[in-house]
Amino acid sequence: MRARLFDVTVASQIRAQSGGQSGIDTFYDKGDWQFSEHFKSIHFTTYLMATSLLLPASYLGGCIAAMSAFSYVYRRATATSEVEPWFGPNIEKEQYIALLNSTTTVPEHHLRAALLRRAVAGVKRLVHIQQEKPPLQQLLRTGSVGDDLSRQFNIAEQETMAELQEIVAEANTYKEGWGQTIFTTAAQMVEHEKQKVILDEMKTRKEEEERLAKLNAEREERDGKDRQEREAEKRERESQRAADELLKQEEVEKKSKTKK
Amino acid sequence: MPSPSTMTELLYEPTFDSESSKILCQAHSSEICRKCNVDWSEHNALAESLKPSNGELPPPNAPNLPRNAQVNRLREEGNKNFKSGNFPEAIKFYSMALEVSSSRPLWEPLAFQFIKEELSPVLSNRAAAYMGMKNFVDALVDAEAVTKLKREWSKGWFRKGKALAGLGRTEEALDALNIGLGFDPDSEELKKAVEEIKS
Repeated sequence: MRARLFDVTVASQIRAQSGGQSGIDTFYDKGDWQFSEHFKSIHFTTYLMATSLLLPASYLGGCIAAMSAFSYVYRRATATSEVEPWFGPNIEKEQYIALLNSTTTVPEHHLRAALLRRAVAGVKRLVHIQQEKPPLQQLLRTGSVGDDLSRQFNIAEQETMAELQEIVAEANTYKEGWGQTIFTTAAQMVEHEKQKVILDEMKTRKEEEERLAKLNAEREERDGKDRQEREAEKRERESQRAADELLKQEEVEKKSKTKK
Repeated sequence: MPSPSTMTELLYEPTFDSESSKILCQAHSSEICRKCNVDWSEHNALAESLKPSNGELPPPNAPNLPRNAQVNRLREEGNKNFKSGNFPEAIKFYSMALEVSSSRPLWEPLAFQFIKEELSPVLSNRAAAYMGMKNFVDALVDAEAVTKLKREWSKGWFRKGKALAGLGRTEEALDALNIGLGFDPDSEELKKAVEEIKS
């Protein structure tokens, strides 16, 4: 307010000096007003900047800090988590390696048998991979499963391929050329094993079926007995009723005789 | 303290027992050891079957012809007895054929094919022989094995249906016969069996 008063007084002084020229008078007057308003608004904005920027800036800073903290923690947590294996432990492979590294001498036919079992396990894994690949790719395309699963699958596929190559190399150390036929033999063994399971199951199936047949026979026998008992009861009741009726009739006859 | 991986290595430590010619766990000298969490029984069985050839395998396309001939001879003998109505004798020969056929070592070349082609008719005929003796339980077990060995063969389903019908389980019998008709829609014996049960 004081600035404005000062401006007005200066203007009136100028006006008095210039001898009351209206054009200049209004010009100065206006110009002073604008100047003072502008001057005042600079003060105001600096004040505004000082106070109101503090709040969003601190908000933004807080957000960034929280996010980076989360990202740091999250990344550390996910980096340490291992990929869940597609297959369980490869026992046949471990057994073969254990025999190779055994402190006692293991005869060659045992080592060959262990390698053959390792090849059978490898073939089983390969069959799994080949069967699961097309449906998994389909699911990935439709977005039904995540990238994690496909990553696990790719790792399993690569591991299986490496395992098969390792077996071929191992087989060739026993006899040149065995690596070319070991998987044919192993694949035949996989089929043969399934048949052995079917034939072995026959014994347990027989026990089950015998028990079932026995139960059925017992139930039928019990049902048959129940029916017989029920029929016997019914017959007894009927004969009782017939006897009662006979007695009644006799009494009626006696009464009619005494009346006479 | 040892890490988990070294611990399993320690537990896996096997030893060769030259007396039984078997692999055993070192700590307890047993084939199947629950403490060590190892099972060498399957390995030892396979190694035992490879011992005569010292681990050498025949080429995978060279079948064991004498065994095939033996199985076929026993099967023919069974068929002969079956035709003459001597069911117990037929069952005896069929069982012997089954025994010889299934005693093949796992690695025998093309064994899975021979077992499928030999044992499906042997078991199917044995089921028929059991049914001839009114032993429907054994007939059902045999017929079921046939349907598992050779699923696409309608004869197995026919036998299974007949055996179930013999046991008085008509609904299951119809199910089995219908599966058989799914594989072979023109089979006269299957159609006849379905009608017999429904009537």
